[in-house]
Amino acid sequence: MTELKLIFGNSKSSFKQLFNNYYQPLCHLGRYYLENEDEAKTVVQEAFVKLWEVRHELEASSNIQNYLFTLVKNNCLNILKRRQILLKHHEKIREKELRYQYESLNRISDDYLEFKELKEKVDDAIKNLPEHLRVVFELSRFRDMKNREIASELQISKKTVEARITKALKILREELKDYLPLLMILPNFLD
Amino acid sequence: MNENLLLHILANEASDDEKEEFYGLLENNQKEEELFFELKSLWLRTSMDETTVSLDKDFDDLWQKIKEKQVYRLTFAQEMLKYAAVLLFVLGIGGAAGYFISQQNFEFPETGFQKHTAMRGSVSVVEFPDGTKVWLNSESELLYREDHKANQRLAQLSGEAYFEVTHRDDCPLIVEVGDILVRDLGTTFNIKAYPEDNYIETSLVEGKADILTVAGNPIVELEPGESAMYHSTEKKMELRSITDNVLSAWREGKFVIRDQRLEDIFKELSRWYGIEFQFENNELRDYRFTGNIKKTTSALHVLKMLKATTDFNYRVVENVDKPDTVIVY
Repeated sequence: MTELKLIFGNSKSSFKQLFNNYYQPLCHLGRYYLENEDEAKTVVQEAFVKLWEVRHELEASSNIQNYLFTLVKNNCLNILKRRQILLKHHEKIREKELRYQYESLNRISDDYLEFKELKEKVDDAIKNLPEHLRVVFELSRFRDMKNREIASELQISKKTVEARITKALKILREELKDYLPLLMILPNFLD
Repeated sequence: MNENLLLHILANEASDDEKEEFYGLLENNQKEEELFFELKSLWLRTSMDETTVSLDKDFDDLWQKIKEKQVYRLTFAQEMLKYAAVLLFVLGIGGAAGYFISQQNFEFPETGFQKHTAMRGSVSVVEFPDGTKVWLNSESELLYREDHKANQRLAQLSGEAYFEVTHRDDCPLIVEVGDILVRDLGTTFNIKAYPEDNYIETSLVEGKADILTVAGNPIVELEPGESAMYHSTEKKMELRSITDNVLSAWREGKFVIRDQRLEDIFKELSRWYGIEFQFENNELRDYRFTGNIKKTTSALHVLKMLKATTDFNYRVVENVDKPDTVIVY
């Protein structure tokens, strides 16, 4: 882990490098579960502040990815828990939604080392989808197009778009079923 | 699983009606639930590029925060830490490689322990020759001995105790509690570890304390104002900030409820009042409360107070040959 030695030296520029590597994926994780960009940013920035503060206590064997990820994940869990507590009693739907949000984040494994090969596995699985499903899936997931937009671009109905995305998800799930519980959030920057 | 519904939920485009329908279906079907969790994490993985950030600008913000915090640390750090009501972070035991500093082994000899206890509904204080003072909460037991050969003071705790340790560099005090060890480094701390609770909470008031695995591997070093909650079943450690009065209140005869689950609160009440609780509605177990209650208040009054702040009901079943039972519904 080369980053580690770099931040030992109190150097702002090497800290920045580390930030460049992990900031975006962690923000995405936060945003995905908190559904709020500003809150997500705050949580991730706090994690980096904490990392800076403990930099002298880190050892060569410390896993910075895990450390940052754990900080972010747990702060998000705490925020979700807090939101649940603050709910009024009549907000039953929101309560359920938050509970599932919490539970699904909670299930993401804390350990990155297990995930070394996973990014490739996911990419491969997507590449191997039947053509008509892959096109729709990639437009939806990687180009962030709304289903309506995809429908008009490909000149098919919105219903068909939705059916194809779901179909693609199902195939992926089947392909990746051995890895899904461990599904990784961060790409492997350290490779 | 209804596919369009699922897609709308994942893409965060679902209406309230759709949400209600979808989550309602999940609740009654564990298989569907699993499937949903899997698809949700798959969705996360395939949407990585959706979030855009401005690295340079955000880094400048971050750097500003770090600099501000350093100035503030020099002035208020110790004081503020105690009052910060922020949950800090959770470390999985074994996962936090950075915290594993050295390896040492402690052995607890079987014999030669003095036993101190506090009965149900009482608090007792023990003072040792070296000035170390320990308060024991209701239904707690402390075993204590000084091991002259190994130069250690050893204690085993079941229940809750508040330690004011006279620190001796040559003879550290180590408390064994469930799966973990707490080692004083010049310290006042509180440990809560009732066998029926599935957590061990160690809170540091002053000084320093280490938490170690029974094998002697350091897990975390506590700072004043921090509390480490060890969840025994999940083997997880959660760190958070505490306020002083929360810790000392039980010694002054108060229940302190700080964002606790109803089930845990009732466990505490039954320790003090010797009544039993039963939940008819399991959802109520997870309701959370915060507040202070004087222990001289009657059990029924406490129940009334809790009831006043949320919607649960209770009825009391009086028993002849065993403790009264409060049924919560």
